[in-house]
Amino acid sequence: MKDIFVLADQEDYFNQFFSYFSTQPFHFSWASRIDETIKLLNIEKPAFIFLATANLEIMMDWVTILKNSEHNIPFICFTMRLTPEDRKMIWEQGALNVIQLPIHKQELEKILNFLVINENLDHTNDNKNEFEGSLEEMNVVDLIQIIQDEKRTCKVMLEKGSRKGEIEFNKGNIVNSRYNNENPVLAVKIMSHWHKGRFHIQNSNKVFIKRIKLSNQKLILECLNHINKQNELMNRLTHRDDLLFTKPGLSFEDIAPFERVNLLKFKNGYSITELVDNYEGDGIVLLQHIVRWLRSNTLLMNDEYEKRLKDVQDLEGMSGFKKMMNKIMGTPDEDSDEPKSNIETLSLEEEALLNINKKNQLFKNKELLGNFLSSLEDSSV
Amino acid sequence: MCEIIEIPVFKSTEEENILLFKGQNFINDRTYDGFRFLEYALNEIQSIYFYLIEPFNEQNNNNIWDRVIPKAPFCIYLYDFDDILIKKFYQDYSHYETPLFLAVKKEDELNEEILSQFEDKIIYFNKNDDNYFKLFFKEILNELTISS
Repeated sequence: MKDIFVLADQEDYFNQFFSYFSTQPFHFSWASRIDETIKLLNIEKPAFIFLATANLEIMMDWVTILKNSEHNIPFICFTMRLTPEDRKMIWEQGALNVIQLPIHKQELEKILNFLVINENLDHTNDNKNEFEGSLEEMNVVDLIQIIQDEKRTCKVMLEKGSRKGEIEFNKGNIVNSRYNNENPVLAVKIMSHWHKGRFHIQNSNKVFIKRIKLSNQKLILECLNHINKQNELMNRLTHRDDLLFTKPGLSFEDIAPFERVNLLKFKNGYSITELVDNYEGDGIVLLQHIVRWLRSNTLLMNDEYEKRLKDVQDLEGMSGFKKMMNKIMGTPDEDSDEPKSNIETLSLEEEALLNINKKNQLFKNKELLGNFLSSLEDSSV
Repeated sequence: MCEIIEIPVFKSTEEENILLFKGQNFINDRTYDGFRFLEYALNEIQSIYFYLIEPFNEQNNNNIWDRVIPKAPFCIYLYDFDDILIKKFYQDYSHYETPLFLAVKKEDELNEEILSQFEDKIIYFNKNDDNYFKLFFKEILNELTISS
């Protein structure tokens, strides 16, 4: 349990910290005035001080008084409308970090996890050329945020099992990313899903080549949207943790390579969760395929698979005449039946159906659009 | 080498609904059966071809749509407050994967249904802005290159 002292001119800020982090091992105390705080610090001896006010002048007063009090307790400032100069000024006064409000709860949680809980990282050490940590503590989105705040020029190397990727920053701005020959933006989006594995940050003296034009904020938003969309798709697949099988008699030779590689994994039973976890590309594309496979009964639940397997075996056991009669007179081919869906959410099926029937966009030359964008940017400024 | 992008632009019959395009310097402006062709040159090598199409004109059947829409990077619909027309149009257009952007005058207010249907594909333009025409297309291209 860590004691955190909150100096905030409005009780609301304190209440928000309290409610946000009620599940974390923190104990919060609050004061609204700096003189009161200085007195209480001698008694409370907190591990951290959080300073929260919307008024930058008040913040600067507090920081100066706190610094002069020589308590040497690490403090984090929370305020609004910061210019880079303001931020620098507060850092120079010794703040551990300056966080601009409003901030998303999850983002704040991650930053505080990094700053407050992760004691393995020595923040007082000026030699910050390299450090590493676990992606469970900080994911790609948190890393972008922190590197941006610290305006680092660095390379972040990420590892998840055998998968490896890199993200490059110039003065805190993300400029390039590499993972499996994916385009740089998609590479960041894919790696933003990694919650297991390690990261390693290495400062750099050289400036990296800019291949990503998006601002950090837009990219973070893109990553969060990607994560949300994938989670949403995943949550709609009610049998995601069950073993699924490819339908008996499926001809793997007749299907496209991407589908073949992934469907083969289901041949002897496999779960969607496992497939997505181990998939190295864009999870959303994979999930859209899974929806289609479920809809067309290419993937089956165990009981349906057993039933169909038995039917196939029965058919194989029939005499040639029976088979022929069965074909002429008998029941229609099962595959031509209306598909029985394994997905309970109809709207997703409808959505998938609509997407399948859509006329594809043939224009794929994003580079050309980029050229036009550059020309428009040059001529409209 | 020349670089060209071709943009189908859907509009209703009234001429005033092409406000976005009025007053621009088109180096080509010709009218053909069923559509009007405009060429906007960004520089010596880059041009944007616009095909102004009236969606429910008899000469514009779905065969023409099939030929032009899939090959375009995006399409534009010039909003004209005719919500019935836009709904009907959108119903037909939903068969295409090509992104569709709704061009709306900045001061115009859209109803909730249209807002929710088009979400992030509504692009406002302000005739009082210098370079509003370029800014309008810059915003679309930004949107498309971001989502790649």
